[in-house]
This record gives sequence, C-alpha cells and structure tokens, in this order.
Amino acid sequence: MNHDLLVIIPAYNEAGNIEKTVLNLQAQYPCCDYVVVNDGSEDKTAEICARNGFHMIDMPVNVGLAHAVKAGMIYAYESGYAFALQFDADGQHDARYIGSLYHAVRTGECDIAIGSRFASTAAPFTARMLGSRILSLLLFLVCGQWIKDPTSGMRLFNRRVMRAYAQYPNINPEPDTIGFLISCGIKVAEKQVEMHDREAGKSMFNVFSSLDYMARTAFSLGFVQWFRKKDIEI
Amino acid sequence: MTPTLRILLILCALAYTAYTIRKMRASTVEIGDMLFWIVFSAFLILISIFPEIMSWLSEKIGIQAPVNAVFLLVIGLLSISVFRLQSSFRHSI
Repeated sequence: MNHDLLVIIPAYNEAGNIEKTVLNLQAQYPCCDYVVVNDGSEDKTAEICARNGFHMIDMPVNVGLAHAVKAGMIYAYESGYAFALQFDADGQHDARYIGSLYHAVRTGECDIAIGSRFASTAAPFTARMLGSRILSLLLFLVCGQWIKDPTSGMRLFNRRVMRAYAQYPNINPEPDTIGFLISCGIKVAEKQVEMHDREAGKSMFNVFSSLDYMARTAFSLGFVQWFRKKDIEI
Repeated sequence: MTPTLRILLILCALAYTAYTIRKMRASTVEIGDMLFWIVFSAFLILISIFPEIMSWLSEKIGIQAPVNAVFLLVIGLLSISVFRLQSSFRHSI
C-alpha cells in the first residue's frame, strides 16, 4: 500500500483492453494503487495481467459486476485504504479526471464523487439518454437530488461508503444504491468528466439486456426503495 | 372460479406480497431477484379480483374450468423461474 486511493478495475473478458487501461492509469495518475478484479473471464484477461505483473484479484467463477466490485471494496476496506474508485477496464474512463473526484471526496465535499458526463455539459437526446433521464427522475423522487449521470460507473468512495459496500447486501455499483445511500444521509456530488467509446471487446449490454436492466433498476427505485430500511449504520 | 377459491387466492397473494416486501425491507434478498416474485403476486391478486380474465382466457384456449387455466399459468410461470435458477446456477459453476 503506497497511496490512500485504490482504483478497482472489474474486468470480464477484457483481454483487448486491460493492458492499455492499466498502463494508461499508471501513466496518467501515478499517485494511486490499483487492483484488477478478473471476474472469471473466459479469454486471456488473467493471463495478460499475470504476464504484466498487474495486481489482480482472480475470481474463480463469474460472479457478476456487482460482486466483482464488492470483492474489490472488501479488499480496499480491509487493507486500510481511505478511498476507493470504481474504474472501467474497457478504456471508457479517463484517468485524467481521477484527481477532481479524489479532491472532492478528500476535502469532505462529498462521500461519493461521480464522474459525470453531463454535470456541466448538456446531454444529447438519444434512446440511451432517455433511459438515463428516467432513472434521474426516479432517483429525484426517491432521494430529492438530481443526479445527471446516474449510470456512470466512475465513482469514488470514502471509507464510510466502502464499508457499506463490503458489509451489506444490495449495496451495488448501480443507480438504485446511489439513491438509497443519499436517503441514508450520504453526500453525493458529480464532477464533469469525459468518457471514451470502448476500444475492443463487447459491452455487457445489448437491446434486450438494456431493457432488462432498465426494468430492474426502475423497479428497485420506483418500488423497493420505498420499503427499504433507511436506518442502517453507515 | 368459486368465491371460496377467489378469497383464498386473494388472501394468499396478499400474505405472499407482505412477506416479500418484509424481506426486501430488511434487505435479506437480492432486489433484482424480487421483480419476478412481485409481478407474480400482483398477477395472483389481479386474477382473484377479476376472475373474468381467466374465464375469458380459458374459453379462448379451450380449457373447461377457468381454475385449471389458473393452475396452468402458475405452473408455467414457476417452470420459467426454476429454469432461470438452474441456468444461472450452471453458468456459475
């Protein structure tokens, strides 16, 4: 442990991207530690990480994004890191923006800093954005705060939130968790970032799974959140 | 469907919904997995309040007693659930 920030990079079948992502991260933002969580990839992700000597948690089976991130959070928490950042392996996230997220949480401005594509620039109007808007609206109804980019996977957490991830079920790297945590008194801020298109490999989403994702998230935000106990100790 | 069966269906569906919501409240289940069961119990409540839906459906597909159509639908939904469970289990091994 050389720094107080751990960058968690969940990777499932990212053989085409992982090397570049980690090398980019090290070059652009050297003052952080990182760990790749290989989520039971069937391609050469683990091999590439081992060959390069990347730090890696190698999951024995495919546990899904939520639990891969959870594994990273538990590792970060137990190793004593003060901050943890969730960072995509596919090259979408830009390490140049980690500094502003880090600063926001470090100074106590917020407990979670979200790297947002639309914090200060307007969102384009596409089908995907429509989904994102619906989630924003549901989030607002649940917790009273407008999150302009609820599906952004670039989020930096402090130790308090890290512990909640490590400890509780249903605290996942998803928009409904953001809503739940805000209801529990966690402060969330968005910082403008740029995101790139994925470079290689394929996304976990297609039309069908996007709709499934929307249904589940909308159900969780629009229905489940109203019943969830908000007095858990975070 | 007889009034007794309807009342029984409503009661069971309500008790069932209350149980799932309690589990959700305490966060002892995965939220994503609950969508299926909430829709399932909503469907049970719907057909017990409006049995005409099942009468209409059973007439259309040629099942003599609407209650059998209810059973058929429930069995069908449960098989889907079991299948999903098994396929996700196999996938993770």
